[in-house]
Amino acid sequence: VIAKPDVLLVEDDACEAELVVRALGPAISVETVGDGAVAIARMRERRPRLVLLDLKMGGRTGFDVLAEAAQHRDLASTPIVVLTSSSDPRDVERAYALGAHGYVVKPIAHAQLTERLRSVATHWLGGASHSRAGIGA
Amino acid sequence: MVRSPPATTPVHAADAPVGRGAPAELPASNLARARDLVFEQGPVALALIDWDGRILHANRAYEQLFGWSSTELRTMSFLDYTHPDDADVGKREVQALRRGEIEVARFEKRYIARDGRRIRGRVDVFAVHDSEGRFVCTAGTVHDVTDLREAEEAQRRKEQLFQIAAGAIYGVVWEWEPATGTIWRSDGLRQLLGYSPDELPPTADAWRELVHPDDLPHVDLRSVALRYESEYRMRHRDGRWITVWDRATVESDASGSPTRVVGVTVDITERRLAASEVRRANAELEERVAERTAELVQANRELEAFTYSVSHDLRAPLRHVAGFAELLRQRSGDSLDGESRRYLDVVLDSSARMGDLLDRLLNLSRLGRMPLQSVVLDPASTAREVARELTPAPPRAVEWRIGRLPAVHADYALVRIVFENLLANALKYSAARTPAIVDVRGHRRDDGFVEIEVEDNGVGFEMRYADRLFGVFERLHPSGEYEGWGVGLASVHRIVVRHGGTVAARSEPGRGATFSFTLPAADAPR
Repeated sequence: VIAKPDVLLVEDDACEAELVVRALGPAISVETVGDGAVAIARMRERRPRLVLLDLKMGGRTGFDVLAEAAQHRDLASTPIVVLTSSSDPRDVERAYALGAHGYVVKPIAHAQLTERLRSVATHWLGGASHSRAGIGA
Repeated sequence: MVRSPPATTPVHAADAPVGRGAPAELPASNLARARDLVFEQGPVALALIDWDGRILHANRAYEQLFGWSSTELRTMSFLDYTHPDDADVGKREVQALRRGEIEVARFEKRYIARDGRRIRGRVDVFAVHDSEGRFVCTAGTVHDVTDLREAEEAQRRKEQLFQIAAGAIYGVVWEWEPATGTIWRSDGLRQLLGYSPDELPPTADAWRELVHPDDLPHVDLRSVALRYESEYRMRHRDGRWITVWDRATVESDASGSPTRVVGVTVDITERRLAASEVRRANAELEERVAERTAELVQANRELEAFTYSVSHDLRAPLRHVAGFAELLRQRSGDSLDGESRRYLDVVLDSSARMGDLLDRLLNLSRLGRMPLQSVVLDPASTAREVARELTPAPPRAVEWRIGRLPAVHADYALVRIVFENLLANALKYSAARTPAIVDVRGHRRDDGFVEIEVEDNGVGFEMRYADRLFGVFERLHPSGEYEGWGVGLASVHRIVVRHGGTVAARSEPGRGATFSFTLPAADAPR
């Protein structure tokens, strides 16, 4: 039996996914889903403590996933934070309107990405679940 | 009158009733007295003049006409008060009279009265003979026709003026008398329609026959009230259609029915053509402007969308480059040789700069779309906030000189971007100075705008490049010498223009640069 993950990462780009996993660090367990179409099923199945959701994916987009998640009452307590390159205000608005709990724009520099993701993790998972040791900021 | 009528001829006094039955008789002595009375006191100026021109006798009307008494006149010749230019006028006629060829010599000549007044007289001269038929003298009457001739002259000039005016309007002057139904038309008819006034019957019907059938409802003199004005087509004698403008004034009697209608009909074909030509050209121009505007708006929109998506789509691979290079450094940095570590640093440094550029491009494309949220703000405090953030760590020394600035009505976030770019720019290009001095000053202009200037003591630039400064990716210094990207000034330009303001730059190489921009003053009407 695989332990319940801290984070379910919905991201169809393997490189992006790897960078996010590295940025979050070894203290946070991450499970990655590369297809928006199966994201909801995995969320219900695995009950992650936090979902990090990419917006631009082939096939079902992050917006579709948000809309679908809102239909499932059992997912109401699962925080979904959008993690994307887009800083378009229209995307931000739309994501929040569809029920996103947070919206994070990915910076270019890895150090900044690390910093930002760690603070997101601290906020949603609590300070105890990860360590600032490991990858330096 | 002077020639003695036969004594038996009965004379009726002017007011005497004409009796019925036997003709009335007047004794010869009474008749002579009546003649004397009319001669002396009558209204007609009359004089007896001998062959040499001497006045023998003048009646009262003659005295009054010329201003001399009969006594004075008897020492004078009529030539004394004849206009010098007219001395010979009537001479020939009087000679013919004397020779008995004519019974009366009639002519018109000018006199100068005693008071200098010019008199035009119509003269009738009779020859007076004695009972044996010998010539005694002449008897002449002078009718003062000065006023009459002047009136005639004035009338003639008026008619001439009318003719000239009628000719000048390139149209027909016409007069319609409703009582008779006839229409008089001026010679301009020939010019207008190719007919002489004689060729076209003087009726309204003859006119209507030449009017375009579709326009006949516009041509109805019977419906006129005070004024009549109409525009319609008529067929010229040569077959072409012309457009005329018809306008008339109506005179009416007390009951309101027209007694006389006077009008003018002019050819406005060319004017109409020109007007429609102008209208068409205008419409075409407007259409083209609208088309071009739509094209520009579309192109602008596409450009923004392109910039936006490029900025986004470039970010992901760039982040991969930056991210994995960083991971590589963390994992193997210690085992790499110095040169390899430097390569890695260059990759990281370059990707960071590229990320910065993408962010700026993104901001620029956004500036054109965000609605302005203008508030009254103090640009000096905004400038100071930005300056605080930009102040570099020692040992670099910067002296900020930010004085009082008039309040503006503008979008705070955007004004901040303006200062961020201009102050950063000023710092950047004065990096070699110690201290770098950045001076921010401004004043309220009469046109409702506040002009703000940012001056530095940096390297400056050549003015001939000044208008290239505000385009995207224009930098006047070789890349590498000064950090940063030309996107900043383009953003400044876009922000200021969106506020209705203008930007300008002036400089001299080596002597600093001054960037100025204008924003709506807070106290300006809006």
